[in-house]
Amino acid sequence: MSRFGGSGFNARCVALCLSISILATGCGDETPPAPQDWFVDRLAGSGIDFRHVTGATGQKHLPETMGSGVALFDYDRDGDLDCYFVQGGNLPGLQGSPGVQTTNRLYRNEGGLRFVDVTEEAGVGDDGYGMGCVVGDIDGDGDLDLYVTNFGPNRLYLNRGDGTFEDGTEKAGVGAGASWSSSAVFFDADGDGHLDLYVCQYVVYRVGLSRTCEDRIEGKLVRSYCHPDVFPAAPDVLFRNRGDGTFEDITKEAGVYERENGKGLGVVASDVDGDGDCDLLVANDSKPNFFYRNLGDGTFRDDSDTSGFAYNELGEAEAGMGIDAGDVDGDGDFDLILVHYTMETNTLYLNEGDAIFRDGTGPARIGEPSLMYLGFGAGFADLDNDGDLDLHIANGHIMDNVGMFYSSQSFAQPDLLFENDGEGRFQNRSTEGGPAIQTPRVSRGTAFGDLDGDGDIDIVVQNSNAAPALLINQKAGIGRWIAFDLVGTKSNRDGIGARVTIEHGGRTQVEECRSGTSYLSHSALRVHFGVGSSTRVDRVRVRWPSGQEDLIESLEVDRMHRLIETEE
Amino acid sequence: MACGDPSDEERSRARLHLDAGLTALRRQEVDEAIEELTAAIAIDPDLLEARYRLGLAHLTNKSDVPAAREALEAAIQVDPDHVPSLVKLGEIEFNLGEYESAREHLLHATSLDPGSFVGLMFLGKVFDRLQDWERAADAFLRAAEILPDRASARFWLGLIRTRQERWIEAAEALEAAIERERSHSSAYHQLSRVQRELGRAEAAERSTRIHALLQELTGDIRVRFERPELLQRRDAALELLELVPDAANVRLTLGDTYLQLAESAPTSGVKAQAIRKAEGAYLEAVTLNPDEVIARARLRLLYEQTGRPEEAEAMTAVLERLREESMARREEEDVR
Repeated sequence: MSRFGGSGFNARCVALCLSISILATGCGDETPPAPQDWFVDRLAGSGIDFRHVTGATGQKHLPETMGSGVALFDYDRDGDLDCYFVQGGNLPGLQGSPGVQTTNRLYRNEGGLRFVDVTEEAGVGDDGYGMGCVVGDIDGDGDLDLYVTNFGPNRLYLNRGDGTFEDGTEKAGVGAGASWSSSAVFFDADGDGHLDLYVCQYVVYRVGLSRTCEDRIEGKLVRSYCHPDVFPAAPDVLFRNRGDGTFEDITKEAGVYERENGKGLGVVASDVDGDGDCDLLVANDSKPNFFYRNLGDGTFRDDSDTSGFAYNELGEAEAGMGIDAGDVDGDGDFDLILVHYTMETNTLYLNEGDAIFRDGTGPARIGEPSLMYLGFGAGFADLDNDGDLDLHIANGHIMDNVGMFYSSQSFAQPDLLFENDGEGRFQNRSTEGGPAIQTPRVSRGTAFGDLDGDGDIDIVVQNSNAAPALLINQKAGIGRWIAFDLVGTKSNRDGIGARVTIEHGGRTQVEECRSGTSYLSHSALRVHFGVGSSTRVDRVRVRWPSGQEDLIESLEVDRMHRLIETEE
Repeated sequence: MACGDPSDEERSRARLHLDAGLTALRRQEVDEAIEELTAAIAIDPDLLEARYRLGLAHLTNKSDVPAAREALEAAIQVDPDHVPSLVKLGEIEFNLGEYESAREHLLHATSLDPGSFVGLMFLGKVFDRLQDWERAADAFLRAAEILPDRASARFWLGLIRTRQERWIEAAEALEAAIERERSHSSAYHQLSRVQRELGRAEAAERSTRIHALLQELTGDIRVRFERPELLQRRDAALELLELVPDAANVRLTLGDTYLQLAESAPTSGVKAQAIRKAEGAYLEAVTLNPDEVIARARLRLLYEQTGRPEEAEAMTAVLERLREESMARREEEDVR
């Protein structure tokens, strides 16, 4: 049987395809909608009462300004996206800590942009000093488990499938000690069908022993957050899932330990060389980025320097924070966005095939507009459903007193919203984004997904020491869409790492199912495409992490399809 | 605000405010400068230099881009052919990602003054963003002709040729940049890629190594390195100097590293040796680049701290002379 001859799969898919409600998005609506802001913040009235707390005491401990992240995932498998917010709180080991009682919070989506706090009943209120989170079905039981990274021991919550979780950290062996973990990804490193886990570690930081940094302003010394150069790097960790609920640390054996000088803050697992397995791309803070090429057997080769991914066009190691992957120029491979410190550009690494990267920031026109901002959250998504990937960046400085040092700088900063012109060039649409985009915030992690089920991508922004933003997409005249929930059978349950290619109206688009992107965050696993004015998708190809390839023909747009990996 | 054309007396008063503003700028008293320049404009709205200087004050000293832009746009309203304002406005627009309007202002500026190095550099970068590689290359070539000793135009030309995949021309331009600035990290980075494309594997490896070593020597100036890190930096600098012996600023970094090593030296003998090595590195840096003021300032400090007042005094005199020469050059450039 041909690898793409899966008519049986097609029939099975049609039987299993679930359509979700399609609210008015302008599709087929002959009355042009009134001009309106692209996004509106719908936090008020949503039921989400989360407020991030840094626990800062004025002593300028670096961890307090680096968090936190957010996850969008369907923890109860009821078809909509729930929100998990990671909390800071009391910095462990800090004398004179404000003593606030805070935990991470989970909000269940009740529909109609109404959420209910279910943290206590779900049992996911980790009270560690939280950084990030990532989601995946690590035990293959059909529900999504949750991994939380902390300044301190990390936590693994295993989903029981009944709306509650249990702490599986100790049994799994993924606590990662008393280190400072940042972003993490679940992916199948060795192709055995189980999700492995890569955890970025930032720097070695001891609250009681930390150095203090000061700058002089008009003759007076003012305390400020230290540059990461002050602290030694902490090495990242790769855990292999044994498939029995336990993990083992294979960092060295797998070859992701060749460089010791990382300071990782962002990571994405993406098949950038197109050979069927997920490679690892790590955004390091003020150090060269890492590109670990997966050799297909669970081992990796450090191709950071030779790939062109370690440094920007000027040969500089930038202060990498958030990262995302996506095919921005429509050439069928995955490019990368990394966001950086002020006076550094956000940098677009264009994949020229086989994971050779070229810094395409300048010609893509995203460089200069980002110079004044410190980017954290970053994500590609087709925010207008026109068939190409747009870009959202959430900004916010790390220094609450930055204005004392640089009059042009501020702690709170607006987001950036860029629209792709279809050829990989971006127009700055932040103004059209509306107040929800332009309001200055001290933003950190971002997660993308269709929160209200209307077929377009919304964004949740986690803000430091503040409430989050719920950026609901309401762009007028938006295109049509198609989305896929993947169900692995030989592959991991949610098809993380699967590559989905669609063809419609003579166009081809490619996307990938990823866990853990942006900064400290996790976006919806549902694979979403904007298709412009196309009324049908002619062909859908799925290449699963197992190597299985499936073909489905003639699918309806403006709905979600559930695709199950064929078992040959 | 004055109504109608200002009288001669008003012009004189405006001129006085302008002069006071310029003096304040030289003293780095930016708030006072802005006040004086604003007062000058209020009396004589057509006082072009006041508007231009006000823009610079906002931009350079306060990083207040909207205010700078407003002042420069007003200057251009007074004189649409005022090249410095056109160039600076083009630069601002470039940095805001407004490439089309930047192109118009910079094209106008460089047509009025084909010798505007800065104008041509930004014009080249604007054409790069607009993916008009040929016109970008042309602008950088013209800039390179104006200031042939500067590395930057050659580097950017190399970058454009790389984008065009004109590898041999790219290599030539990048090598020319390195010839002018021996530790041009960005040029080595690009050159390594170009050399790989040209099949020059050994040369590419050398360029990659030089770039990596240069990167090892970068870091936040606030950071006080621990002794093991200092030893690593020393070794990187020494290896780099084997590869690029005439890189003055690497010798400066080596001197700084030795000085920091002296502070944490376990014995007085080791400390004295480290100070001697620092002095040697600084002296080599100034031999390679007689205008290297930082190395000279470090030497002065070192002489002062090691009880050599006559040498310190002599170095102070040299530094003063270099400072005056630099100020004269800057004023000349300002006039230009």
